Amino acid sequence: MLKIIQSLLYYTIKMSTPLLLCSIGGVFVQKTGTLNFALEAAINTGAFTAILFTVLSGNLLVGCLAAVLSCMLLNVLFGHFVVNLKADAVIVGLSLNMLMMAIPPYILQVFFKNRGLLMATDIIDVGKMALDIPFLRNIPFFGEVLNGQTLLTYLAYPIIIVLTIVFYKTKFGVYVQVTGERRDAAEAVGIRTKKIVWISLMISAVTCALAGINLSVEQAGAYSLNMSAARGLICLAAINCGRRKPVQSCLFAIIFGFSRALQLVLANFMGPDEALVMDVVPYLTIILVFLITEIPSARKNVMRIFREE
Amino acid sequence: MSAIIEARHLTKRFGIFTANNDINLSVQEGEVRAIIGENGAGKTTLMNMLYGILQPTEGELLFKGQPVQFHSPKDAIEAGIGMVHQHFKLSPSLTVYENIVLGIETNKKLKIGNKEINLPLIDNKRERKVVEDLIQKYNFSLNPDDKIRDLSIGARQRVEILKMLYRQVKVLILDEPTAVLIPQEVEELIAKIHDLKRMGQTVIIITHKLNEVKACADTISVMRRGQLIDTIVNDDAATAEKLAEMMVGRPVLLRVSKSGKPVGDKPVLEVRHLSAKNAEGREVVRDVSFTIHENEILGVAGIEGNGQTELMYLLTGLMKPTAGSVKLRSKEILNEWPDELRRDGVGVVPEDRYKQGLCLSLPVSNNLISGYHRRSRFCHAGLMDYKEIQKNKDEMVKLYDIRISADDPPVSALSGGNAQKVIIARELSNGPEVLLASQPTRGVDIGATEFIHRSILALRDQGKAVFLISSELSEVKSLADRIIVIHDGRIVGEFDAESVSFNELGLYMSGAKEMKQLAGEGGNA
Repeated sequence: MLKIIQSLLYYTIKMSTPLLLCSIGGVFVQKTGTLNFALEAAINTGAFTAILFTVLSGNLLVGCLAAVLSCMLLNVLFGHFVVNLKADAVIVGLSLNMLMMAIPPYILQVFFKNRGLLMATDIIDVGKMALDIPFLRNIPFFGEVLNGQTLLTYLAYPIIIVLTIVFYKTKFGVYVQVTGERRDAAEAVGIRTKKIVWISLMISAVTCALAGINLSVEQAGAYSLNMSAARGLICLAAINCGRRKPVQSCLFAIIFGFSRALQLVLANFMGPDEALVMDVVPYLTIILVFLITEIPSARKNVMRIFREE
Repeated sequence: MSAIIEARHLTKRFGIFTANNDINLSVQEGEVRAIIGENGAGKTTLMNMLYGILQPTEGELLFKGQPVQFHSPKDAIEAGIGMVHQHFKLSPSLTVYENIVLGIETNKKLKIGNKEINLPLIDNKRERKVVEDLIQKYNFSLNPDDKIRDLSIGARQRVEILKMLYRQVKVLILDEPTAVLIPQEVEELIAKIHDLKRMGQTVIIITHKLNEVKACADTISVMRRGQLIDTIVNDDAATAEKLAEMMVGRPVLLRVSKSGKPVGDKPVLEVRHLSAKNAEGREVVRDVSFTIHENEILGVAGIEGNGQTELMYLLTGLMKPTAGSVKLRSKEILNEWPDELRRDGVGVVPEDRYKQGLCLSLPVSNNLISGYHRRSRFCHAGLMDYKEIQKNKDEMVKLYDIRISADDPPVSALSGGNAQKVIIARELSNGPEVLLASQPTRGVDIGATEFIHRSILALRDQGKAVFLISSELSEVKSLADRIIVIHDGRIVGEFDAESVSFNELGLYMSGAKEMKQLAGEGGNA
């Protein structure tokens, strides 16, 4: 029993990492009032290009750098349509999400003759990705939980702390909040709100790239199709439930990470049929969380016909 | 004295429309200048050019004798021109001091030996102190730590003014500063303007309220149809009547003439113990009771945000009540849907004409029947009769003097006054028993205002009841037979419109006074 709890906690931390990274960056864009619908595409891009360029160059660092750059490029594309051309964020985001589901199999088929999978295990030793830290290992009970996670998992938490400080304590963070709340108030004192959105998009690009790297490089050493598995949308849900606040959004990301861990651990005790059913757990959690967080606010609506903003 | 701001041959065109035509304006340092004119006269366009929001098509702008070009408000503020907009630009979840320093925050400094290093973190403590000193210097009653969303409208305005003073502007432009204030706050603001003048500040006030102009301006510039008609010294010769005539271009009756028909004794609309909660669960309408009789206009006076909006939503079937009853000629109409209400004879002029009164992209003809579109005249077996709809439009346009440029343009092409006339025409032409009107002349020019006032009075004289909410106290007082004052969702006073003074109303509006026993409660069913 103890073992189960330990592994449940271990996997919660592990599964939360990409969600946390994606959410903490995404929160900035979301707070500026721009719907960050291309999160899904960004994670997928990060995961794919990290492996692709690692394989091509034989160097993991080159792969990671390529992941960050390509995610930025993706968000430039998204930002150009949504910020500059004022296109609908859902439509643009959706098409980018679809595009990033279609491009990897094409490239893999043409260059590697395997449209579903790209292995980089001869360059990346997945076994070594899990770090062994003596100081953590020696903590009773929690040693099994905290030790043996990957580098980005350990980095995620300082990143969250730094970005939360940026969000609340720096000029840029205050401008992000004002841009989302009263754009005209920001512009009236000469704050260039477009620039604020653009910077937010770049922050989001970097953290999404890290999330993608965590998924493909650190967790699998390979890229497989549809690897992001709607994590971008889950993060959008987490940010929404967290009311676009960094810490709260991260807490919801951990709840969603926990539900995925639950699925993984429970599936071990079941036959193949039931195990597949368990795949719905993370998504069911989202619906449940949404019900819990949204019903009170829907109940509060006292208007009969329209909803007041 | 020398001119601090000078405009030479300033012209602004939008396409073929000339908003400002060859304006020559010279504002002296240290004076209080009022710029008056009707809505659409071009006051705001002129100020937006001074403030860098718009760029002039022709002409030049001089600040302290130097030609300047402002490309954004930021340029103007840096040069020393600050503007307080009619709709405040403050971030509600931030505090007073955070809003004041927004955009020019001070960062924390780290001292190592003799060197000072700027940290990327905001120094909240120091900002707070500086703002506190500023509040004391100008003697503004504000708490730097309050969140904007908890402040009254008057306090928010003071924050906006301080925001500009913090930026050390030499010229302060106030755009319609008294539009949202109660009489006492207006007096306070006028006193503040005198204070600022004594401290050497130049102030420009844009307004259409003549009494306040008389009370605080040194000189008055009058604008009409994009032109600067004249600039006069504010002396005894500059009477309100004379100013109004200059604004409109013809003599105007500043007072509405009532027919003097007595109020009937048959009740039309009876509201009893009406209550409602808003989304946050706060009771925003609290046990409201009143009766409107035949041949009566009941006016509601109150500071905006004291439950008027919600009361209107309740009466027009848009919001769920928690208790109470509303009877129209003894038929219960509370909780009826808007279409049922209209069938029962309730005419509605909503507060926000563009959100709830009109569909901007639809043509005038369709807007003139919306809400009444299922009437047999316009609709047979579910099919619209467009011939009849067009005919109706032609009738209404003539009858209600709606000025349209094309045959049947979308409502978005109409001016505020004409758009409002579309609503008035629609609601009055369908013969309502009671008219519920909220802010019927907000943002409407004097000509259209006169027309709308006459229409409402005519409806009253036909034996109908009118419920009138307006933030323009003078409008309520001149149109209504009886006035109820609303404060914090409750009716706190009831007055005869003829005899009550503005100051008395102001005391009740601010919550300083309250009637124990209200006359309207007597007729409980």
